[in-house]
Amino acid sequence: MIELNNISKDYQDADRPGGILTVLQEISLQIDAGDSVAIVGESGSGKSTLLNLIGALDKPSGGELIWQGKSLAEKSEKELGQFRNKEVGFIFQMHHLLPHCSALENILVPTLLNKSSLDVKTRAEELLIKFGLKDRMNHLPGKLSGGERQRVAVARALINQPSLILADEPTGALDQGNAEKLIDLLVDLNEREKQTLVMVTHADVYARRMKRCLRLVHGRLQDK
Amino acid sequence: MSWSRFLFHSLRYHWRMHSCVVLAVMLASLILVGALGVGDSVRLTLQTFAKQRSGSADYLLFRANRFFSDRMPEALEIEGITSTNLFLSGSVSLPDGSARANVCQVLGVDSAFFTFFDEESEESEFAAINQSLARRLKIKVGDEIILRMERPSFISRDAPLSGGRDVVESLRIQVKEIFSNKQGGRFSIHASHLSPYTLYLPIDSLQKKLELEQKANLLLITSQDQAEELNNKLSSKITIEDLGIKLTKLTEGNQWQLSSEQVFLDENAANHLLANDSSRYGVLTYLVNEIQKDADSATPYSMVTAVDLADYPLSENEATISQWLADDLDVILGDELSLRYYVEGKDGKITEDERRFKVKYILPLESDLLRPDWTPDFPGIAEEDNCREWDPGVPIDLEKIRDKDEDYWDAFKGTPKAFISLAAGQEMWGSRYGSLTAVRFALKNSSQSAETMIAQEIISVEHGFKIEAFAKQAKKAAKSPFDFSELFISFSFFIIIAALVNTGLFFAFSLQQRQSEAGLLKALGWGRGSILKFYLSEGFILSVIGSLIGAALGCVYTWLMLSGLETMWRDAVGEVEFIFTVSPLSLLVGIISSIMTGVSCMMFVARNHLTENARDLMSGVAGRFVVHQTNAGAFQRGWRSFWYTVSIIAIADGLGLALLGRGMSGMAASGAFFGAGALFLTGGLVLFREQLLATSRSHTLSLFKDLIDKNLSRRMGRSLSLAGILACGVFLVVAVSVFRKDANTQSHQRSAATGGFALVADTTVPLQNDVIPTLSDVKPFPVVPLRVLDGDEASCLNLNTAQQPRLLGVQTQALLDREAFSFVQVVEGEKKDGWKLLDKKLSERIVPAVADMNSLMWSLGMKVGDDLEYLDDKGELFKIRLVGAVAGTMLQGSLIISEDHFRHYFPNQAGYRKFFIDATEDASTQLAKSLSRSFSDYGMEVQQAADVVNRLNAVENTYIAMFQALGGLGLILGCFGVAVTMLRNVVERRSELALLRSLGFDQQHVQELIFKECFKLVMWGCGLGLGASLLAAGPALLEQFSWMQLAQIMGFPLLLFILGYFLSLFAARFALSQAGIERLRYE
Repeated sequence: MIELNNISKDYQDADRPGGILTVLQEISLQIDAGDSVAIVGESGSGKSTLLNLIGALDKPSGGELIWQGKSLAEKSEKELGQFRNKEVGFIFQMHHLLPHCSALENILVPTLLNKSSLDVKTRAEELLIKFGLKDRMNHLPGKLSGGERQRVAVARALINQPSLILADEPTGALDQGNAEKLIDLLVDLNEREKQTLVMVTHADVYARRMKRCLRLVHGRLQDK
Repeated sequence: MSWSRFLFHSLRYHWRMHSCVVLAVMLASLILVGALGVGDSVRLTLQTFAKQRSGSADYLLFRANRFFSDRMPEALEIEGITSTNLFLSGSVSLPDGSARANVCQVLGVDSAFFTFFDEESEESEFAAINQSLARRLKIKVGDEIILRMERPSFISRDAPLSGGRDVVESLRIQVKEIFSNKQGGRFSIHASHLSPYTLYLPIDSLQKKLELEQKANLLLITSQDQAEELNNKLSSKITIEDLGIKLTKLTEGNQWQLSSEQVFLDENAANHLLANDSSRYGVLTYLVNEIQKDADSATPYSMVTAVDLADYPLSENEATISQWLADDLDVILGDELSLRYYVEGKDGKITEDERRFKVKYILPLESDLLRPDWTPDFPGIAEEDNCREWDPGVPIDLEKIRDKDEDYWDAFKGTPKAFISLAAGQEMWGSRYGSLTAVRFALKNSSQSAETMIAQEIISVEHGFKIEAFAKQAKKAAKSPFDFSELFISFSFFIIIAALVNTGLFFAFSLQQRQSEAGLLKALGWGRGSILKFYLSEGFILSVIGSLIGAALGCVYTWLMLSGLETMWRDAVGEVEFIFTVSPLSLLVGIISSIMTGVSCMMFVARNHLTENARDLMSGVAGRFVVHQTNAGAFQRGWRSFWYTVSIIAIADGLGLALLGRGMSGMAASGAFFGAGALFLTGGLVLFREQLLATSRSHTLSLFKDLIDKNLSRRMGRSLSLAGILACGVFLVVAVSVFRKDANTQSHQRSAATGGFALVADTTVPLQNDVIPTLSDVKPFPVVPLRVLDGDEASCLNLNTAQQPRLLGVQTQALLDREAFSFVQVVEGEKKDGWKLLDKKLSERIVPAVADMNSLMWSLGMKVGDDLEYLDDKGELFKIRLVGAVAGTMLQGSLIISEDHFRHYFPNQAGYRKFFIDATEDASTQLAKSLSRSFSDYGMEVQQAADVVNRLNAVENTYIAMFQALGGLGLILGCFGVAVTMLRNVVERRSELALLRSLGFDQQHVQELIFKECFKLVMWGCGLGLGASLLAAGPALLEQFSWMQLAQIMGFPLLLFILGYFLSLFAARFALSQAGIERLRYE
C-alpha cells in the first residue's frame, strides 16, 4: 500500500558542523493494506517527522515514498492535499478541534473540500453515535471532556473513509482509561474496517496492540 | 533583580512589538500636538496681523463722508502721538489697463502716520503702495500707476443740488516705495486677516487734488488716556470750523448767519438752535428750474428763498418777488406764479414738481433783502462765473438761459428772485439731507464769542464724531470665530481614533504574544494588580516615548497643515502667510493627552487579558475564543425574527428619512441626511450579524463559505466592530462630499444661491441714479442696484470676527417681485415673504435686516432676532435687528436692509456700488465685458454670480476636502489596524490552519479561507458605508445628478476596497507562513 524507499530527512542547523541536522536516515518500510504499525522511540528520534512524511505533510530530503505504486514526489501540492483529504486520516496528540464549531461540525470540516451531500452528515452522525457521542453532537469542544474531544478527532479522521490512519501519540493527553478506550477503538477500526493504521507512541503497552512494532533509533528504523 | 531592571529587560527584549505601540501613540500625539499647533499658529498670525493693522495707534476717529479740520488734533491737546489723514477709496490700474485693483484704500497721510508702524522710520518717499497692491499689479518701484477715485463731496451726491456728475478724478502716479506689512502695509480700519490694497500719498497733495484743503477724515491717536477722556476732550475742544460750519457776519447790523459746507444744516443742530432762541429764524434757499407766469413767460433757473420775514408775512401760497422778476414775467401783485423744481422722489430718483404761488409783495431792486448771502454755496453753481457753466447735479437746459439771466448772475449772483414762507419751502424742498440752509440771528457780541456760544450749542446736541478704541477692537476682531485647533482635531478625528485603536490592538497583540509570561508570573504568585502594574508601567514608558517623538513630529504636522492652508487649501483662508508656532501649553496638552489616552487603551486591553487563569495563560490558549453557543429553538428563532425585523425597520426608516430630507433645508436636512445614514448602517450591521449567525445556527457545515461565516461569527464583536468602523468611516468621509456646493447647477433659479442673477457688479465710485439706466443701456437686462456702507467682511472668507459687517441697502420690492433667494428662517410670517420684513416698522431707531445664515453662524456668532449697533451718518447709534436669514447665498458677508432705511440713516452714502444683474446665460459673458469696459472709470468689476457663490462655497468645499483628506488618511491608517487585527487572528489560529492542512486543505485553500474572511469584512464595511452614503445622498443626487459627484462618492470606497483587497491578500499570505505543520507539535 505504502512503500518508503531510503527515506531521509535533513534540516538546516547552523549550530551543527556542516550546518545540517539529519533526523531520518535511509528508512525503508513497506506497509500493506489493513496492516497496523506502531512506531516507538525516544523523544526527538523523528517519529512524528516520519509520520508527517508518510502523510505527505512534509517532503523527504532523500528517498522515495510510493503510494499504491505511485511516487508521492510526482504529485502536485493540490494532489497531495487531495491525497491527505481522501486517503489519510490524521489523529494528533492534541485534538485540534475548531473551538467555534460543534462536534458534528468539526467532523464535517474535511468534507468541505468535496461536494457536500446528505450522506456525509448522516455518516458523521453515525460516527458520533458509534463513538458514544450521540448526546454531544451539537456541543462545542469547550463543553467536551478530553476523551470526548479525542473521539471527535478520530471521527473527523474517519469521515472521508481514508484507507490510512496516521495517529501521532493519540493517547498522550489522555488518562489511562480514556487512552485504553481510544486504542480499543483504533484497533477495532483496523480489524473491522480493514483500515491501515500507523501509530506513533511512547507507550509499549499500546504499541504491542499493533501487528507490527518498529523502533526509531538515531534516525534509523529497527524491528522491535 | 530590581523591578526597574526587570522592566528595562522586558522593554528591551520585546522592543520589536513595543516599537509598534510607540508608533501608534506617536501618531496620536503627533495629530493632537499638530492640530493644537495649527490653532496656535492661526491665533498668533491673526494677532500679529491685528497689530500690524493698527500699529501703535490706540484710537481712531473716522467718518467716511464727514470731514474735519486737519488742525483739530492740535486743538484737542492730546498727550501722545496723533496723525491726521485722508482715508478714501479708489481703483488703481496699470497705464495700459492690463491689471487693475478695484477696491483700494487711498491714504493721504501725514509724516506722523508711519511712526505708528515703525518708530525708526525715515522720511518715506511718495507715492507708495503696499506689498499686496504691488503683487496684485505685479509692479515695482519706479513703475507708474493710474489712480481713479471719486472726488469727495460735502453734500451727498444723492441730493438734487449736490453738484455735477463728473466726479471721477484720475491721477498718474509713479511708485517710489513699496511698504511691507511692518511699515503700515496692512493698515486698515476694517477687520480682516487679508492685507488690503493700499496707495499712500502725501495728505497735502491729495487735499489739493481733491479740493479738500485742510480737511481730513481719519485721526489716529496713541495716548495713555481712556477713550472716554478723549471723547470728552473732543466734545469740549472741537470747533464749528472742524464740523464744517460757517458763521458769517452779514453786512448790516448785528445779523449773523450760520451755514454749512454741507449746504443743508444738520436737522438736530438747526432745530436745537431755533428752539433755544425765538429771535433766530431758519432759511431754506433752493434752485428752481422755472418761475412761470404762463406758457409764454418763464424765468429759468432762479434761487428762491423760503424764510419767514416779519416785514413781509406770507401764507403758504403767497410769494414775495423781486422787481427784476416782476419785470421779467410782467406780473403785478395778485398774479399767480408757478415754481418748478427738482426734488428727490421716494425711489431716490430726481423728479420735477410744481407749486403755484400768488404774488403778495414786490421788492424793489434796492431792497436790503435782495442779497446773495441768502444762497448757500451749491456745488457746481457757486463757484461758476456764468450760468452756462453751471453743473448743479440736476438736468440743466442751457438753451433756456438767456443773456439777461447771465447779466443777473453777473450782477447779483445767487440773490433770490422770490421769497416764500419757510413752511411752504420746507414742504417742497425739505429732505433727508436737511430742511434749512441757514439759521440767522442777531448778536450784540463780537464774532469770537458768538462763535463760541453757537459752537457750544451745536456741539452739545451731537457733533457726530466719536473716538473709538482702534487697537482694542482690532485685537477683539483678531479672535477667529472658530477655533482652528478644534477644527483640525475634528478633521483628524479618524486619524486619532485610528491611532488609539492601533495602540490598543498593538498592545493587545503584544500581550497575547506574551501570555505565557503573564501565566508564569501568575503561577509564581504575582497578583493580577502587580502584573497589570508591570504591563502598564511598560505601557506608560512606551506612551511617554511615543508622545515625545509624536510631539516633535507634531510640529512638522503643524507646518505641513499650514503649508496646506497656504497652498492647496488656500480657498478656505485666502492668501495668507501663517506664522508658525507651537506653544509650550499645546505641547504639554498634546503629550499628556496622548499619554493618558494611550495608557487608558492599554489598561483596557490589559485588564481584559489578565482575567484568564494562569494555566490557560501559560498554555497559550487564553483569550483564544469566545464562542457564541447557539441552540436552535423557539426562543432563538424569536430573537432571529426580532433582529431581522429591527434590520428591515431601520433600513426602511432610513429610506423614508432620506426621502423626507428632500423637502428640508439647513440643519434639518443635515439631520435627515445623517439620520438616514445611521439607520441604514445600523440595519445593515444587524443584517450582517444575522447572516453570520445563520451558519452557526444551522449546526452543520456543508460549504466552504460556511466555514468562513463560522470563523467570522467566532469573534462576532470584533467582526462587527471592524465592519462597522469601516462602514462609518466610509459613510462620513464619502457622505460629506454631498455637502460640496456648486453654484453653477441651478444658478438660473431665483431661489438659488445666486438669486437667479447672472452677474454681480461692484464699483469703487458709486453710480448715481441717473447713471444706473446706462447700465441697462449696454444691454437691456434688469438691474437691482444696492447701496453699500463699507464694513467688515462677515463671510467665511474672513478669519476675523466681523465687528460691524458691511451694510447693503436694497430695493425690497425688486427682490420680492423676483422671489430671489431662499429664506431658511424668519422671525414671523411666511418664508417666501421674507423680504417684506425689511420694510417692517419696528421700534424707534431699530432697522430690520436680513443676513446669510453662514454669516450669522460662522462670522458673527449671532442668530435671527439678535441686534447689532451701528452709528448713522449723524454719529448717532441705532440698532439693526436680524429678522430673517437666507442660506448659502452670494449675500454672505453683508447685512441687507431696505434702501429706504439705508437712505434715512446714511444720507451721505450716495449712489450705488453693487449691482445684481439679470441676463441670459449666453449674453452674460459679453455683457460682463461690456460693462467692465464702459464703467472702468468707476472701477467696475463684473463677476458671474455663480463664480461669486462658488468662491464663497470654496471655503466650505475646501474644509470638506480637508476633512475628507485627513479623514480618509485616518481611515487608511484604520485599515492597517484592521490588517493588524486580521494578522492577529491568523497568529491566534495558526495551529488551526496547520490542522486544516493536515486535513487535506492545500495552501491555496488556506489562503482562500483567510482571504475571504478578511475581504468579507472589507466588503461589508465598504458596502454598508457606500450604501448608507448613496441612500442618504440619493435625493440630492437625483435632484442634480452629475457623474462627477457620483465618481466622488464612489472613489474613496473603491480605493479602500482595493486597499482592503491587498491587505486581505497579505493576511492570506501571512496565514500560509503561519500554517506550518510544526504548529501542531508546538501545541
